[in-house]
Amino acid sequence: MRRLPYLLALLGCLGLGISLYLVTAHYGKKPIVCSGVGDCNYVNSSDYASVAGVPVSLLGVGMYATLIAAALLWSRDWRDERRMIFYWGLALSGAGYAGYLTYVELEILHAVCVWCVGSAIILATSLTLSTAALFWLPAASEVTPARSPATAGRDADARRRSAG
Amino acid sequence: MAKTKALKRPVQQNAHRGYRRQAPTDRRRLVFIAAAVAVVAVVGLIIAGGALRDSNKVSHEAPAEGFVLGSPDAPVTIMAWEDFQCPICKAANASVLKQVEQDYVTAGKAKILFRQFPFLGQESIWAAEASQCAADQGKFWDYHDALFNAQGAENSGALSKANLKRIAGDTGLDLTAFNTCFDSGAHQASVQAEKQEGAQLGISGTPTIFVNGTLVKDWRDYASLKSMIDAALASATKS
Repeated sequence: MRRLPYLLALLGCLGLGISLYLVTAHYGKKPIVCSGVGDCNYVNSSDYASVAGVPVSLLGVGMYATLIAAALLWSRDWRDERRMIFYWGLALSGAGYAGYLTYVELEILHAVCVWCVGSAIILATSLTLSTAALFWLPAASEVTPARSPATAGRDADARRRSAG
Repeated sequence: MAKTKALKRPVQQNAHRGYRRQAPTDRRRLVFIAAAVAVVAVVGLIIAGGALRDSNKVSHEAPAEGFVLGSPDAPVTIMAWEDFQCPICKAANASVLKQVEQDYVTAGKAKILFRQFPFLGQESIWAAEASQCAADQGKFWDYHDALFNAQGAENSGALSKANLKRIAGDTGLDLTAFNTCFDSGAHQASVQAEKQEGAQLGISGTPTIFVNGTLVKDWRDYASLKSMIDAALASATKS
Protein backbone atom coordinates (compact mmCIF):
# COMPACT_ATOMS: atom_id res chain seq x y z
CA MET A 1 0.00 0.00 0.00
CA ARG A 2 2.87 2.37 0.80
CA ARG A 3 4.17 1.94 -2.74
CA LEU A 4 0.83 2.52 -4.46
CA PRO A 5 1.22 6.31 -4.80
CA TYR A 6 4.59 5.77 -6.46
CA LEU A 7 3.04 3.26 -8.88
CA LEU A 8 0.31 5.79 -9.65
CA ALA A 9 2.92 8.51 -10.24
CA LEU A 10 4.68 6.14 -12.66
CA LEU A 11 1.42 5.53 -14.51
CA GLY A 12 0.96 9.29 -14.64
CA CYS A 13 4.40 9.66 -16.23
CA LEU A 14 3.39 7.19 -18.97
CA GLY A 15 0.23 9.17 -19.63
CA LEU A 16 2.17 12.43 -19.59
CA GLY A 17 4.52 11.00 -22.23
CA ILE A 18 1.58 10.11 -24.48
CA SER A 19 -0.04 13.53 -24.05
CA LEU A 20 3.24 15.36 -24.71
CA TYR A 21 3.74 13.37 -27.90
CA LEU A 22 0.23 14.23 -29.12
CA VAL A 23 0.70 17.92 -28.22
CA THR A 24 4.02 18.01 -30.08
CA ALA A 25 2.44 16.40 -33.15
CA HIS A 26 -0.49 18.84 -32.97
CA TYR A 27 1.53 22.05 -32.76
CA GLY A 28 4.31 20.73 -35.01
CA LYS A 29 1.62 19.82 -37.59
CA LYS A 30 3.22 16.40 -37.97
CA PRO A 31 1.32 13.19 -38.69
CA ILE A 32 0.86 10.99 -35.64
CA VAL A 33 2.67 7.67 -35.78
CA CYS A 34 -0.03 5.05 -35.50
CA SER A 35 1.95 1.94 -36.48
CA GLY A 36 -0.79 1.05 -38.91
CA VAL A 37 -3.27 0.61 -36.07
CA GLY A 38 -6.34 2.84 -35.95
CA ASP A 39 -6.90 6.31 -37.32
CA CYS A 40 -4.94 8.60 -35.02
CA ASN A 41 -4.78 11.60 -37.35
CA TYR A 42 -8.48 11.45 -38.11
CA VAL A 43 -9.43 11.28 -34.44
CA ASN A 44 -7.02 14.04 -33.43
CA SER A 45 -8.18 16.42 -36.13
CA SER A 46 -11.88 15.85 -35.53
CA ASP A 47 -14.18 18.41 -33.93
CA TYR A 48 -13.95 16.43 -30.69
CA ALA A 49 -10.17 16.84 -30.40
CA SER A 50 -10.37 20.28 -28.81
CA VAL A 51 -12.37 22.07 -26.15
CA ALA A 52 -12.81 25.83 -26.58
CA GLY A 53 -9.81 25.87 -28.88
CA VAL A 54 -7.59 23.95 -26.49
CA PRO A 55 -6.38 20.59 -27.83
CA VAL A 56 -7.57 17.68 -25.69
CA SER A 57 -3.96 16.44 -25.65
CA LEU A 58 -2.95 19.67 -23.89
CA LEU A 59 -5.72 19.11 -21.34
CA GLY A 60 -4.19 15.64 -20.92
CA VAL A 61 -0.78 17.15 -20.12
CA GLY A 62 -2.38 19.27 -17.40
CA MET A 63 -4.36 16.34 -16.05
CA TYR A 64 -1.36 13.99 -15.87
CA ALA A 65 0.92 16.64 -14.35
CA THR A 66 -1.69 17.23 -11.64
CA LEU A 67 -2.16 13.48 -11.11
CA ILE A 68 1.60 12.98 -10.71
CA ALA A 69 1.80 15.87 -8.24
CA ALA A 70 -1.19 14.48 -6.30
CA ALA A 71 0.33 10.98 -6.23
CA LEU A 72 3.67 12.31 -4.96
CA LEU A 73 1.86 14.37 -2.34
CA TRP A 74 -0.02 11.26 -1.26
CA SER A 75 3.22 9.23 -1.15
CA ARG A 76 4.55 11.59 1.57
CA ASP A 77 1.82 10.36 3.90
CA TRP A 78 0.08 7.36 2.43
CA ARG A 79 -2.43 7.14 5.29
CA ASP A 80 -3.71 10.66 4.71
CA GLU A 81 -7.28 10.27 3.55
CA ARG A 82 -7.56 13.77 2.17
CA ARG A 83 -4.58 13.26 -0.13
CA MET A 84 -5.88 9.88 -1.24
CA ILE A 85 -9.38 11.23 -1.94
CA PHE A 86 -7.93 14.24 -3.77
CA TYR A 87 -6.03 11.87 -6.05
CA TRP A 88 -9.09 9.66 -6.46
CA GLY A 89 -11.25 12.64 -7.47
CA LEU A 90 -8.72 13.68 -10.10
CA ALA A 91 -8.48 10.12 -11.42
CA LEU A 92 -12.27 9.91 -11.54
CA SER A 93 -12.57 13.08 -13.62
CA GLY A 94 -9.75 11.99 -15.92
CA ALA A 95 -11.14 8.50 -16.41
CA GLY A 96 -14.66 9.90 -16.83
CA TYR A 97 -13.61 12.24 -19.61
CA ALA A 98 -11.43 9.56 -21.21
CA GLY A 99 -14.47 7.26 -21.14
CA TYR A 100 -16.52 9.92 -22.93
CA LEU A 101 -13.78 10.34 -25.56
CA THR A 102 -13.61 6.59 -26.09
CA TYR A 103 -17.39 6.57 -26.60
CA VAL A 104 -16.96 9.37 -29.18
CA GLU A 105 -14.29 7.35 -30.99
CA LEU A 106 -16.36 4.18 -31.11
CA GLU A 107 -19.88 5.50 -31.58
CA ILE A 108 -19.55 8.87 -33.31
CA LEU A 109 -16.27 8.91 -35.21
CA HIS A 110 -16.11 5.14 -35.74
CA ALA A 111 -12.35 5.47 -35.60
CA VAL A 112 -9.83 4.62 -32.94
CA CYS A 113 -6.63 6.35 -31.88
CA VAL A 114 -4.33 3.88 -30.14
CA TRP A 115 -2.59 6.63 -28.17
CA CYS A 116 -5.96 7.83 -26.86
CA VAL A 117 -6.95 4.27 -25.96
CA GLY A 118 -3.60 3.86 -24.16
CA SER A 119 -4.25 7.03 -22.20
CA ALA A 120 -7.79 5.89 -21.34
CA ILE A 121 -6.40 2.56 -20.06
CA ILE A 122 -3.85 4.39 -17.87
CA LEU A 123 -6.56 6.59 -16.38
CA ALA A 124 -8.92 3.65 -15.83
CA THR A 125 -6.10 1.73 -14.09
CA SER A 126 -5.28 4.75 -11.92
CA LEU A 127 -8.93 5.08 -10.95
CA THR A 128 -9.26 1.35 -10.22
CA LEU A 129 -6.15 1.27 -8.02
CA SER A 130 -7.08 4.40 -6.10
CA THR A 131 -10.65 3.14 -5.65
CA ALA A 132 -9.22 -0.09 -4.25
CA ALA A 133 -7.11 1.95 -1.85
CA LEU A 134 -10.21 3.85 -0.84
CA PHE A 135 -11.90 0.58 0.09
CA TRP A 136 -8.92 -1.20 1.58
CA LEU A 137 -7.22 1.57 3.47
CA PRO A 138 -8.92 1.56 6.89
CA ALA A 139 -10.76 4.70 7.89
CA ALA A 140 -8.49 7.06 9.81
CA SER A 141 -10.40 6.61 13.05
CA GLU A 142 -9.88 2.84 12.84
CA VAL A 143 -6.13 3.14 12.48
CA THR A 144 -3.87 2.67 15.45
CA PRO A 145 -0.90 4.80 14.55
CA ALA A 146 2.60 3.44 14.87
CA ARG A 147 4.29 5.36 17.64
CA SER A 148 7.63 6.91 17.15
CA PRO A 149 10.16 6.34 19.99
CA ALA A 150 9.76 9.99 21.01
CA THR A 151 5.99 9.66 21.22
CA ALA A 152 6.29 6.38 23.06
CA GLY A 153 8.60 8.07 25.56
CA ARG A 154 6.16 10.90 26.12
CA ASP A 155 3.32 8.37 26.58
CA ALA A 156 5.37 6.52 29.19
CA ASP A 157 6.07 9.82 30.99
CA ALA A 158 2.40 10.63 30.96
CA ARG A 159 1.51 7.19 32.34
CA ARG A 160 4.11 7.55 35.14
CA ARG A 161 2.81 11.01 36.07
CA SER A 162 -0.74 9.69 36.03
CA ALA A 163 0.21 6.75 38.25
CA GLY A 164 2.21 9.00 40.53
CA MET B 1 -5.56 19.47 35.51
CA ALA B 2 -1.93 18.96 34.57
CA LYS B 3 -2.48 15.19 34.51
CA THR B 4 -5.40 15.52 32.10
CA LYS B 5 -3.34 17.70 29.75
CA ALA B 6 -0.51 15.19 29.74
CA LEU B 7 -2.84 12.32 28.92
CA LYS B 8 -4.33 14.17 25.97
CA ARG B 9 -1.02 15.11 24.40
CA PRO B 10 -0.30 11.87 22.48
CA VAL B 11 -3.65 12.04 20.76
CA GLN B 12 -3.05 15.66 19.72
CA GLN B 13 0.39 14.81 18.42
CA ASN B 14 -1.00 12.05 16.28
CA ALA B 15 -3.77 14.31 15.11
CA HIS B 16 -1.39 16.45 13.10
CA ARG B 17 -0.52 13.33 11.10
CA GLY B 18 -4.15 12.93 10.24
CA TYR B 19 -4.57 9.52 11.85
CA ARG B 20 -7.37 10.38 14.20
CA ARG B 21 -8.73 13.62 12.94
CA GLN B 22 -11.36 12.12 10.67
CA ALA B 23 -14.38 10.01 11.45
CA PRO B 24 -15.63 7.39 8.94
CA THR B 25 -18.43 9.76 7.97
CA ASP B 26 -15.78 12.32 7.00
CA ARG B 27 -14.41 9.92 4.43
CA ARG B 28 -17.83 9.39 2.94
CA ARG B 29 -18.40 13.14 2.86
CA LEU B 30 -15.02 13.81 1.23
CA VAL B 31 -15.54 11.04 -1.32
CA PHE B 32 -18.95 12.45 -2.17
CA ILE B 33 -17.52 15.94 -2.61
CA ALA B 34 -14.64 14.66 -4.76
CA ALA B 35 -17.02 12.61 -6.91
CA ALA B 36 -19.39 15.57 -7.32
CA VAL B 37 -16.53 17.89 -8.35
CA ALA B 38 -15.25 15.26 -10.80
CA VAL B 39 -18.68 14.79 -12.37
CA VAL B 40 -19.17 18.56 -12.69
CA ALA B 41 -15.73 18.91 -14.31
CA VAL B 42 -16.39 16.13 -16.84
CA VAL B 43 -19.88 17.38 -17.71
CA GLY B 44 -18.51 20.92 -18.02
CA LEU B 45 -15.83 19.78 -20.46
CA ILE B 46 -18.36 17.83 -22.53
CA ILE B 47 -20.77 20.78 -22.64
CA ALA B 48 -17.97 23.25 -23.47
CA GLY B 49 -16.82 21.02 -26.33
CA GLY B 50 -20.37 20.62 -27.64
CA ALA B 51 -21.08 24.36 -27.48
CA LEU B 52 -17.94 25.05 -29.47
CA ARG B 53 -18.90 22.53 -32.14
CA ASP B 54 -22.35 24.13 -32.48
CA SER B 55 -20.85 27.60 -32.78
CA ASN B 56 -18.28 26.40 -35.30
CA LYS B 57 -20.37 27.51 -38.23
CA VAL B 58 -19.12 26.55 -41.62
CA SER B 59 -19.87 29.19 -44.16
CA HIS B 60 -20.41 28.20 -47.72
CA GLU B 61 -21.34 29.78 -50.96
CA ALA B 62 -22.52 28.40 -54.26
CA PRO B 63 -20.49 25.43 -55.53
CA ALA B 64 -17.80 26.24 -58.03
CA GLU B 65 -15.39 23.37 -58.60
CA GLY B 66 -15.51 19.65 -58.01
CA PHE B 67 -16.51 16.39 -59.62
CA VAL B 68 -20.17 15.95 -60.36
CA LEU B 69 -22.10 12.70 -60.09
CA GLY B 70 -25.40 13.01 -61.90
CA SER B 71 -26.86 15.64 -64.13
CA PRO B 72 -25.10 19.02 -63.85
CA ASP B 73 -28.53 20.61 -64.33
CA ALA B 74 -30.09 18.86 -61.34
CA PRO B 75 -31.72 21.49 -59.09
CA VAL B 76 -30.24 20.21 -55.83
CA THR B 77 -26.51 19.99 -55.15
CA ILE B 78 -25.18 17.71 -52.45
CA MET B 79 -21.63 18.83 -51.87
CA ALA B 80 -19.39 16.42 -50.01
CA TRP B 81 -15.91 17.39 -48.78
CA GLU B 82 -14.00 14.13 -48.39
CA ASP B 83 -10.62 12.54 -47.80
CA PHE B 84 -9.82 9.18 -49.39
CA GLN B 85 -8.19 7.99 -46.17
CA CYS B 86 -11.18 8.95 -44.02
CA PRO B 87 -13.03 5.83 -42.84
CA ILE B 88 -16.23 7.78 -42.19
CA CYS B 89 -16.18 9.07 -45.77
CA LYS B 90 -15.99 5.47 -46.93
CA ALA B 91 -18.94 4.63 -44.70
CA ALA B 92 -20.89 7.68 -45.93
CA ASN B 93 -20.33 6.69 -49.55
CA ALA B 94 -21.52 3.17 -48.86
CA SER B 95 -24.59 4.30 -46.92
CA VAL B 96 -26.29 7.70 -47.16
CA LEU B 97 -24.60 8.97 -50.33
CA LYS B 98 -25.39 5.66 -52.04
CA GLN B 99 -29.01 6.08 -50.96
CA VAL B 100 -29.08 9.67 -52.24
CA GLU B 101 -27.69 8.43 -55.55
CA GLN B 102 -30.47 5.84 -55.85
CA ASP B 103 -33.29 8.13 -54.71
CA TYR B 104 -32.36 11.47 -56.28
CA VAL B 105 -29.29 11.41 -58.52
CA THR B 106 -30.47 8.75 -60.96
CA ALA B 107 -33.80 10.57 -61.20
CA GLY B 108 -32.02 13.80 -62.13
CA LYS B 109 -33.32 15.58 -59.04
CA ALA B 110 -29.95 16.04 -57.38
CA LYS B 111 -26.26 15.83 -58.12
CA ILE B 112 -23.38 14.93 -55.84
CA LEU B 113 -20.40 17.23 -55.98
CA PHE B 114 -17.16 15.78 -54.64
CA ARG B 115 -14.64 18.19 -53.11
CA GLN B 116 -11.15 17.29 -51.96
CA PHE B 117 -10.13 17.92 -48.37
CA PRO B 118 -7.02 15.74 -47.97
CA PHE B 119 -6.12 16.47 -44.36
CA LEU B 120 -5.12 13.08 -42.97
CA GLY B 121 -1.53 13.00 -44.16
CA GLN B 122 0.67 12.45 -47.16
CA GLU B 123 -1.24 9.47 -48.55
CA SER B 124 -4.43 11.56 -48.58
CA ILE B 125 -2.67 14.18 -50.70
CA TRP B 126 -1.25 11.57 -53.09
CA ALA B 127 -4.69 9.97 -53.41
CA ALA B 128 -6.32 13.33 -54.15
CA GLU B 129 -3.74 14.11 -56.84
CA ALA B 130 -4.09 10.63 -58.32
CA SER B 131 -7.88 10.99 -58.45
CA GLN B 132 -7.46 14.22 -60.44
CA CYS B 133 -5.24 12.33 -62.87
CA ALA B 134 -7.98 9.70 -63.20
CA ALA B 135 -10.46 12.52 -63.81
CA ASP B 136 -8.30 13.69 -66.70
CA GLN B 137 -9.17 10.36 -68.31
CA GLY B 138 -12.86 10.70 -67.42
CA LYS B 139 -12.73 7.97 -64.81
CA PHE B 140 -12.86 9.93 -61.58
CA TRP B 141 -15.81 8.07 -60.05
CA ASP B 142 -14.44 4.61 -60.88
CA TYR B 143 -11.14 5.56 -59.32
CA HIS B 144 -12.95 7.22 -56.39
CA ASP B 145 -14.74 3.93 -55.61
CA ALA B 146 -11.55 1.92 -56.06
CA LEU B 147 -9.65 4.20 -53.64
CA PHE B 148 -12.27 3.83 -50.93
CA ASN B 149 -12.26 0.05 -51.45
CA ALA B 150 -8.46 0.00 -51.07
CA GLN B 151 -8.54 2.13 -47.91
CA GLY B 152 -6.46 0.90 -44.98
CA ALA B 153 -5.20 2.47 -41.78
CA GLU B 154 -4.01 6.04 -42.14
CA ASN B 155 -0.67 6.47 -43.90
CA SER B 156 0.01 2.75 -43.62
CA GLY B 157 0.94 2.32 -47.27
CA ALA B 158 -2.53 1.33 -48.46
CA LEU B 159 -2.57 4.45 -50.65
CA SER B 160 1.16 4.64 -51.33
CA LYS B 161 2.34 5.93 -54.72
CA ALA B 162 2.92 2.37 -55.94
CA ASN B 163 -0.54 1.25 -54.80
CA LEU B 164 -2.21 4.27 -56.38
CA LYS B 165 -0.60 3.32 -59.70
CA ARG B 166 -1.63 -0.30 -59.27
CA ILE B 167 -5.22 0.77 -58.53
CA ALA B 168 -5.13 2.97 -61.64
CA GLY B 169 -4.15 -0.08 -63.67
CA ASP B 170 -6.89 -2.17 -62.06
CA THR B 171 -9.43 0.56 -62.85
CA GLY B 172 -8.54 0.41 -66.52
CA LEU B 173 -6.79 3.74 -66.79
CA ASP B 174 -4.11 4.44 -69.38
CA LEU B 175 -1.14 3.85 -67.11
CA THR B 176 1.40 5.74 -69.19
CA ALA B 177 -0.71 8.87 -69.13
CA PHE B 178 -1.64 8.35 -65.49
CA ASN B 179 1.97 7.87 -64.38
CA THR B 180 3.11 10.93 -66.31
CA CYS B 181 0.36 13.01 -64.72
CA PHE B 182 0.92 11.65 -61.22
CA ASP B 183 4.74 11.68 -61.21
CA SER B 184 4.91 15.21 -62.59
CA GLY B 185 2.66 16.49 -59.78
CA ALA B 186 0.36 18.02 -62.39
CA HIS B 187 -2.46 18.49 -59.86
CA GLN B 188 -0.40 19.27 -56.79
CA ALA B 189 -1.24 22.97 -56.82
CA SER B 190 -4.97 22.49 -57.50
CA VAL B 191 -5.30 19.93 -54.68
CA GLN B 192 -3.56 22.27 -52.25
CA ALA B 193 -5.74 25.16 -53.39
CA GLU B 194 -8.91 23.13 -52.90
CA LYS B 195 -7.80 22.03 -49.45
CA GLN B 196 -7.03 25.63 -48.56
CA GLU B 197 -10.43 26.68 -49.85
CA GLY B 198 -12.04 24.09 -47.58
CA ALA B 199 -10.02 25.29 -44.59
CA GLN B 200 -11.02 28.89 -45.28
CA LEU B 201 -14.66 27.81 -45.33
CA GLY B 202 -14.16 26.45 -41.83
CA ILE B 203 -14.05 22.77 -42.70
CA SER B 204 -12.00 20.87 -40.16
CA GLY B 205 -13.07 17.29 -40.73
CA THR B 206 -14.56 14.96 -43.28
CA PRO B 207 -17.07 14.21 -44.53
CA THR B 208 -18.65 17.65 -44.44
CA ILE B 209 -21.85 17.66 -46.46
CA PHE B 210 -24.02 20.52 -47.70
CA VAL B 211 -27.40 20.53 -49.42
CA ASN B 212 -27.64 23.58 -51.66
CA GLY B 213 -25.15 25.38 -49.44
CA THR B 214 -26.72 24.41 -46.12
CA LEU B 215 -24.57 22.35 -43.79
CA VAL B 216 -26.01 18.92 -42.98
CA LYS B 217 -25.39 18.55 -39.26
CA ASP B 218 -26.45 14.94 -38.88
CA TRP B 219 -25.81 13.36 -42.24
CA ARG B 220 -25.88 9.87 -40.71
CA ASP B 221 -29.61 10.25 -40.24
CA TYR B 222 -30.90 9.64 -43.76
CA ALA B 223 -34.40 10.84 -42.87
CA SER B 224 -32.95 14.21 -41.88
CA LEU B 225 -30.81 14.43 -45.02
CA LYS B 226 -33.80 13.39 -47.14
CA SER B 227 -36.02 16.08 -45.65
CA MET B 228 -33.35 18.69 -46.43
CA ILE B 229 -33.12 17.50 -50.03
CA ASP B 230 -36.92 17.46 -50.36
CA ALA B 231 -37.12 21.00 -48.97
CA ALA B 232 -34.43 22.16 -51.42
CA LEU B 233 -36.30 20.45 -54.26
CA ALA B 234 -39.57 22.10 -53.27
CA SER B 235 -37.84 25.47 -53.06
CA ALA B 236 -36.23 24.97 -56.49
CA THR B 237 -39.59 23.96 -58.03
CA LYS B 238 -41.30 27.10 -56.68
CA SER B 239 -38.62 29.40 -58.05
